Amino acid sequence: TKCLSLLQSSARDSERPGIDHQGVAIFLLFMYFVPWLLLVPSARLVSIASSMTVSRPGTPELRARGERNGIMDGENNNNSNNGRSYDSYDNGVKNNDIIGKVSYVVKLVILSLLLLVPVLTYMNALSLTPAFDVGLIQNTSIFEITSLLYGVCGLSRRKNVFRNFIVMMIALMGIVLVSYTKATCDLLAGKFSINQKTGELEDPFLFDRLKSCLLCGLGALTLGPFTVLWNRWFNFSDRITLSHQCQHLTYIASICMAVLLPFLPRALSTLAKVPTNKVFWLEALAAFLFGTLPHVFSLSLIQRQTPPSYSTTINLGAIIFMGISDWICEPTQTTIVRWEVIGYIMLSVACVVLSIAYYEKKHLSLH
Amino acid sequence: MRKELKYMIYGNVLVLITILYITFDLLTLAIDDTLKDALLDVDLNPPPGTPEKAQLIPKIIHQTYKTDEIPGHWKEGRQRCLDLHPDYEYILWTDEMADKFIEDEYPWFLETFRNYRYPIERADAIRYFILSHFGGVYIDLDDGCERKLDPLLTVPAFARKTSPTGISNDVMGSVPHHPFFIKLMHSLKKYDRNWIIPYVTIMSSTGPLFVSMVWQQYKRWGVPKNGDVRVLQPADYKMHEHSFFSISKGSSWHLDDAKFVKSLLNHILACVVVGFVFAFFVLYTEYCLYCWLCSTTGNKKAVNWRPWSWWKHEGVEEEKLRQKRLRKDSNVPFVLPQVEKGFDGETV
Repeated sequence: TKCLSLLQSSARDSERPGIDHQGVAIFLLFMYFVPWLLLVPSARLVSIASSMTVSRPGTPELRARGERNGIMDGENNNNSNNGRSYDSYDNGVKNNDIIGKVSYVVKLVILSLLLLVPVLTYMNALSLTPAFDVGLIQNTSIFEITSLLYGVCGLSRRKNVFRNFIVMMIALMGIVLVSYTKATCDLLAGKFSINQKTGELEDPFLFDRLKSCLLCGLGALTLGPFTVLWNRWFNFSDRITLSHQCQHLTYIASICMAVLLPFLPRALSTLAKVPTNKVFWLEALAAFLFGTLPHVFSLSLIQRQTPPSYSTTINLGAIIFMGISDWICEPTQTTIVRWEVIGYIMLSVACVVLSIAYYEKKHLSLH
Repeated sequence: MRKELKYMIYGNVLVLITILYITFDLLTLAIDDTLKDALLDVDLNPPPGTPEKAQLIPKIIHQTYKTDEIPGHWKEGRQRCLDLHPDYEYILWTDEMADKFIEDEYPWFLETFRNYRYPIERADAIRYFILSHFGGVYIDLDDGCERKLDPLLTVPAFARKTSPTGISNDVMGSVPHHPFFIKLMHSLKKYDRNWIIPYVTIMSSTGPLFVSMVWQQYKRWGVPKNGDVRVLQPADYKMHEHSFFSISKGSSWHLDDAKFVKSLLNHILACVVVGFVFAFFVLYTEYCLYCWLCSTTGNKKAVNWRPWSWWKHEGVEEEKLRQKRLRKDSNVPFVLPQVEKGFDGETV
């Protein structure tokens, strides 16, 4: 997020005439989905690495049994041995099942559209609002909507609901404290103050920021249905391998990129006007290869290996680490006040408590 | 789908539709582009040699105050307006004159007018009636004139842009019986609501927020011919070389709540976050209630609810019921559930 924000800032601050900020945002949006194409090779790498490190069962009998079950988890062994071979399936759909294939494509398109909205609003918000603000509102929104929908749709266990609710509210209070005391940002003062000489706002982008914060938060809400449907369609059974899940994600990213293709010429013409040097491309590479790719890959791993509700705590952690990265990247611009620290402590404690409450490993293989 | 969940979804959808209906004009204000209706530099400062446009708005300046005794700090600005416009008719509307005017000309509004909670609401409301009835330019007493208003009289109606969005009601002008001001007049009754916080009540019942919302509605369904409302931009309003007005200490009706609302602008991100947290709190509370109703003992608890019972662990209650059943059927041997062992010796 920080790198993407810096990229947009450098384009904005270049002060070249005719630079369309939407164009830069669309280009970065398109680029955001490129690392998703590396998910399948990453999954293969991880599975190879894990098969090399995990010791094989001791006796030949157990080894044979393990190989026969392959990717399947112990819990589902009874259900999965109904004479069906996983090899006769392509991404969970029978090779000769046309209706199944059509429904598979429809599912992918729905998920792509649901994913495109939050990423689009996120990139747009980054062009107008400081990275921390975007990170905070987006993660808060995702945390809330996923926590709620996992509960309502029966994806989380209805145990200690009220206690977890109290902990969630403590975390959210911490977020409110952090956002209230946040005194700095990376462009201008970000405060409502009037220039006494002209009678105009000191920060002309103040209300643009409000608008983009709102849009980013509302746009992120579609990730709720996305994660619910993902868990329903592509994470419902332990028979679906990590490679297959990564393949689904790659298709989803490809559809998103296809949707963005008509806007790409405009984005490229804008980018041609932006003074891009080595640092620009290095930052872009770092953002996508060391930011987006590990983020998406680890998220899919966590979704696979733990109950869905566990992944909601990632958003709380992201806010904490966003604050830390802001502090590291801009130490001269960051002012930390007492209530901000209290907010972070509340958030961190609640995050740990929720992680412990939700944690339950599925013991799935990475193959 | 369970009955309780259905009812909750229907209820929430209903609430959402109601909120959307109430706040629709506000939401459209957020994406409004006033530049389309802006009074351009060429309109206000025409280059020499440009043929003069006909003046549509009558040369009348209206101002309002409770009595004839105007406070000293506003006298200078008012005098400047009088000095700059000797050819204009000037009317200072006192509370008594306003009440008499409404009683004589618009008796259907008299009850609402007299029943307003705050005097500033009457001061706001009367200006729409005056402009609709006589036409002319209304100027707040805290706005002093800096140049002649003649260029503003060439449009059927005008108001000034306010921050962050919408138009304000401190400087307005119109021809008599302009459709926008007629709409404003007739909308006053509908918007006369008490929002508890005085600042919010005043702003949304008669103030700038009310004007901006009605303006959105006015534009939405198509502006009638010669019914344009042009918008004076901030630089033309005050504190610039060619500005029409200068501002002195005003907002005399602002109380502590107004200061609080304005202070929220320093914490825009926090305001957005609070909105999201509040929505989550309401929805998750409903979900907790739903879980409680759906729990094994939820319905019983609903009848025999005790305020201190919410903290008890669900499992404890279930265990108690199980123990009761076991004591009752103590002659039946209790069998432990089958535990299946996985091939690695793990419990499955």
